[in-house]
Amino acid sequence: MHDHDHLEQRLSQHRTQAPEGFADRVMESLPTWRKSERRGWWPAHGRWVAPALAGAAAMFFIMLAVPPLHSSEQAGEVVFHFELHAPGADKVELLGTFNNWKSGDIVLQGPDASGHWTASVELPEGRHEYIFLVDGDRWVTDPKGATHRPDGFGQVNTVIKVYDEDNA
Amino acid sequence: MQDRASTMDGRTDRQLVEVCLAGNRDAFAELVRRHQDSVFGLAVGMTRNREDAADMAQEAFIRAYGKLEQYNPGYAFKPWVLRICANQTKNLFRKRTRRRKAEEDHLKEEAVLADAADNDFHALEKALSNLPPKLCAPLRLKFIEGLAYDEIGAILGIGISAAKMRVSRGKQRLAEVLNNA
Repeated sequence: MHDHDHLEQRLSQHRTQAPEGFADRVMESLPTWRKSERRGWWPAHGRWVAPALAGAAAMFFIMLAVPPLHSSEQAGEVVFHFELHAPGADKVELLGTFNNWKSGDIVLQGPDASGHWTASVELPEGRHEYIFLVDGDRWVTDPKGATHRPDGFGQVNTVIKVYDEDNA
Repeated sequence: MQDRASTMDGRTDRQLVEVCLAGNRDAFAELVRRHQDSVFGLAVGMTRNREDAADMAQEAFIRAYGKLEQYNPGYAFKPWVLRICANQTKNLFRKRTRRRKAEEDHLKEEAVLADAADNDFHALEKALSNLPPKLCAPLRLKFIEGLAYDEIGAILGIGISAAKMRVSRGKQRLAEVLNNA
């Protein structure tokens, strides 16, 4: 009969190891962009409920006393995280409908140790197309984008549809 | 319990998440390396199949990455990603028909045997793989991952008393399996 304490001890020392190269495969499979919520002063995850309620009450009285401000131009925007694996590149830019395909407007940061370039961009809700420009002369379609569309000039753009979860 | 990779990077999980949210993918790679065995182990316990488990664990990390903004740093990262893994594994089984059962059983035996490093490890791994997922998963979370019953309940979507009962029954069943081996 197995002693249960001994069994617990065996279990505590047991570890089923993930397959070789698992972490690398995960990293290779990550999406090139990550949808994220706006990170502002408002506490996330329902923390600091009491201060938040106090703030809301204070805001209510301020709004009664002060003429209404123009609504935020950033309302309805969602932060997207763009990524491109280009380990040999010197510069990666992001051009799209959201910046009128303007070169030099959004330059990705990188490369990191694994050769990835990244940029977090606030996008208005709706449909967008984009493409990467590598080293100023090489157009690169996002290889992990789900939807692509030829631009009519020999390149292929990636299509994304952005909706804030609160409004979807 | 100290995870094997945590000694290679002194940053806490919370710090790694913050760095990752700032755009550094390497930080997420460290999180994967740190918790891959735990997530994979849970998936093995729930699927009894290493191939499916690897898929489920991989998908769990990809989903975690996609919703990293929703992670509450007030709680530990590991239970959070384990919960993601448990939820999607349950969804997988809801979608599947029973036609794969024979195939899974065959793969389970083959894969577990191939990866066994020594007799003790082999015997315990094989015994665990013979437990029903409902007992194996709580047992792994309790004794291999060192989680509390409330955490186990939250991860598996069951009550605390159910978690306690399944751990107890799982331990009893495991002892029987090892005795009969």
